[in-house]
Amino acid sequence: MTAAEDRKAQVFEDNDHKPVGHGRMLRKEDPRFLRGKGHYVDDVQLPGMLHLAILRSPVAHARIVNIDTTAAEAHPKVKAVVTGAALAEQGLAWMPTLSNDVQAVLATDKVRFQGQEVAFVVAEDRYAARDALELIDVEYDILDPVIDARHALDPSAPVIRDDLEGKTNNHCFDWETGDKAATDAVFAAAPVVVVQDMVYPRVHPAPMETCGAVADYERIDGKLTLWSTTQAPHAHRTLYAIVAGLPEHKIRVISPDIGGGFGGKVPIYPGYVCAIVASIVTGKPVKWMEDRSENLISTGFARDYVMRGEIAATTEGKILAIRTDVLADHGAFNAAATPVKYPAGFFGVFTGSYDIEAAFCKVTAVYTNKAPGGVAYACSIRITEAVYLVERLVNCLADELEMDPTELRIKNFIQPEQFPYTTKTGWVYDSGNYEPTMREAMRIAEYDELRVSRPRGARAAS
Amino acid sequence: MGIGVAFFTEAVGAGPRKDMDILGLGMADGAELRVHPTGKAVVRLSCQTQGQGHETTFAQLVAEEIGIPPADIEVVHGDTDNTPFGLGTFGSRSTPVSGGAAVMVARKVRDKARIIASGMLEVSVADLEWQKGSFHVKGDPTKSVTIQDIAMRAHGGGDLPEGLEGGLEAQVCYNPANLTYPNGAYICVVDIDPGTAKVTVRRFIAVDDCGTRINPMIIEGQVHGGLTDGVGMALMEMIAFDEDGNCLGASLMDYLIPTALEVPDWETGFTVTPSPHHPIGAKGVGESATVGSPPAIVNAVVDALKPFGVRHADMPLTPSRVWDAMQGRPTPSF
Amino acid sequence: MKVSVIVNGAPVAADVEDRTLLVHFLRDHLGLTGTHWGCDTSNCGTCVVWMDGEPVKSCTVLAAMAGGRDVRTVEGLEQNGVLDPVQQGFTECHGLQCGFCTPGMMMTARALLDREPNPSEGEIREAISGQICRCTGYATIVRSIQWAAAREAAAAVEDDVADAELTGASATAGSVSGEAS
Repeated sequence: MTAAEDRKAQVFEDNDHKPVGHGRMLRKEDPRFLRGKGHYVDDVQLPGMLHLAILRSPVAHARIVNIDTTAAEAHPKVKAVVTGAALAEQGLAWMPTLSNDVQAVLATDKVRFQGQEVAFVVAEDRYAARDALELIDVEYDILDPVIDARHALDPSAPVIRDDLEGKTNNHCFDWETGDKAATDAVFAAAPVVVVQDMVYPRVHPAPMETCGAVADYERIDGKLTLWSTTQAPHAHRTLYAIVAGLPEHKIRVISPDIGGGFGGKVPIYPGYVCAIVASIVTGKPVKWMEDRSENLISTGFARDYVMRGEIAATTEGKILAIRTDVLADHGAFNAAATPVKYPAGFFGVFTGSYDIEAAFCKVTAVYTNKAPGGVAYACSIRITEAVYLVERLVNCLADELEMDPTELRIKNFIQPEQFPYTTKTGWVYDSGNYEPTMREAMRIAEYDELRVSRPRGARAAS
Repeated sequence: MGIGVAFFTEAVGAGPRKDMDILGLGMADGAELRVHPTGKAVVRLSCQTQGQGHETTFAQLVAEEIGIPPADIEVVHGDTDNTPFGLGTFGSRSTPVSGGAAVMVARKVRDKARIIASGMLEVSVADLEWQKGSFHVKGDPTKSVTIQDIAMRAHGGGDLPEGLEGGLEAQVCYNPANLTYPNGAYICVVDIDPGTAKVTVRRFIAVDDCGTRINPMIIEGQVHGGLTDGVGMALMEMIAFDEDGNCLGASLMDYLIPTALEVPDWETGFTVTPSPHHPIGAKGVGESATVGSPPAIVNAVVDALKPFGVRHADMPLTPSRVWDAMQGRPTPSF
Repeated sequence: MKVSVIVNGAPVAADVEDRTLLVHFLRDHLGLTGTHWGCDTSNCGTCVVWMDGEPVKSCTVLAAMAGGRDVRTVEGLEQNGVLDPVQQGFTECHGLQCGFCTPGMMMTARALLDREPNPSEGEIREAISGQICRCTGYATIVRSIQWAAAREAAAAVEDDVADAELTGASATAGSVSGEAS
């Protein structure tokens, strides 16, 4: 049997294997999804439920001169229209982000990215809510936007975060890890140095289910029940308590079935807060479900790292050090979901799977007129960026030395007896046995035969 | 044709609460387990599935420890009124952290069950042996009680050993000693059409080491999904902007996500190097393939373009960008 | 305007705005929430249902256009509580994770197998190429559909064998009575 037929045969065995513990087992949750009885946020229907739609900025950077909501308020199916000014009176126009920055729930002074939330409408049905958005008239005074992160720190760049006291530029933070002096010394003495610029472009997790919430504030008990597309219901509950001033025991967050998260459903989005406010204001349950455009344009993006990577080695292919300078585009607000002590997430594992002598990295984060985010799309908190950097660098080194890429890696792997292994950036790898893992991949790939059809190092004639 | 290789080590789960917190909230997770009189159980988790199969895998984790079949274990998650505090599901942390919590709470229940069993069999705790699902007296397997017998006894009218409260339940908050470090070796084979510059992924081999494997079917599913992400990022996906700040990736017409025609049949394998600090030696795996696949694919494309003198080209390697690279003018990403 | 549609074999009628999309008619007016809505450009396919036996994207069909037609949704796949082989295949082969794209995928799969009982892998991938899954990586969806095809082929063989036995039995009875007469 071929390998493909082998795999097929395994799959088609009757699964009467029901392990009491680990092992292959069919999923207990499948029946409801197969029968169309999954219970996602948009499936929640409550008596008297209203629908919320958000008016978003069509421009990337502008002052808000005036918002006229009279026509929208006059729409027969509209129950409420709320702007940033109204939220500001309740101290709700801004909310903290997961990175200790603040983000606008509804814009007050300026809009800072295309798609930013400006106002919301609550209406009897979802179509009427959208109709009413078109009746809101916003006058913008358009400002030059900062789009290219590489020019965000130019002296002439417009300042995006003038809401922050004393802010005169678009600098967000600097972060370093590793030993600069030791690394520079190794590089200075290294026989082989390869430099490569590379970009990990902005991407988006785009789960098949977009984000949304149903907020049901019960006035008599003062209890808020919030169904929402959240990967972190308890953390959200605590944050709502702190931000909205509602007692935490009176908040119940329910994540029902979620149609994919991939990190895109970790942050608290303005839409959730709007739904909560709307329910409090109208006394009715309120549903907010974003459409796909809103999902792509305003919810947590991923990556957007501009990296210069350098790798130092001997001529025999022993990797000595890795150094990198990173420009991180964080969008208009720093809303990356990272632990407090790690503003660039776990990027520090850019030393990879290799036993090296020194490493250093500097990350400069900037604001731009784009949606906030950065940590999403299965990045393991910036490890996608780190691994991309080191694995491209190692490959560039292999090309430079005309060595086979598997051979170069095996030569430099952390050895099994070195675990737990402390990297030059302070991470303690718990266990690993890298060479057999590499060789298993080579075996399945029939690597030697592949190399026959694609020999190493076939360079262009210059 | 090009061959690309990548090897990754990633760090997932949570570090100790003194080192890791998000906005002041520690990254530990809670778990509660309750066994009913008739021997069925409910485990309440703080993490929340979005398709990873927690209702199955966590039942399996608990089943492995206390011998109640997964079909008899209800997994409750996602409702903050009914579940213990935890930081949620992201960063591949469910197995390392919540999984650790589920195992610890099941062992706590098993420890209590052992004491009850000692009373039922009238021997000391040290004279009991556990065989998944029952305790028996050492040297006399005929003298045994099942976990279901014990559950009924825990709630029933009979005597319990001195000092022991009734019921068969426990609660833990698991604060991991370290993150876990899954790793893997990926090999990608691509073909580039010389006329259209379109990149096709001919083969993708992924060998993952996520330590102890709870459900191989679910692990494979996680890996397949992540590999598809890699094809998307390496070849198709980008949220681009024009110079006025208009978002050019605001619909699925513009932001291209792989369909069944853009990906091959995946070839996966595994090795097992357990985590020394995790209660069952498991590591996270949900993001491994998303982490490891983009460099493997880009390395393969660069390999294929070597005859054109290309040393590097940035993602996404769409046909127009590959074409430009072949002509000696790699496109900057923005 | 008044819309009359047959949905999963039962006639329904409702008064809806002219511009109501079929997907919203099914979900919001009929409470059939198994069909999902995932994009605004007809790309994702989470909304796929059948209209007069053909898979269509219900986000791109007005409820009014479905007037007088036969619409089938995922809720109509099972028969008397028995899962369709396509549904069985999806669980046997782990063809779903979050489940959001699954109803649309299964409706397309069912239509494919009705038309082509033994599709190749390429034909399966082509058939679902208008729909996106962000979780599974597609290989298990392909296997799920192949499982269903194999299961139906095996069942067809069993039916043929059973028929042949029946025919054989009556032939024997016939010849006995023939001999007797």
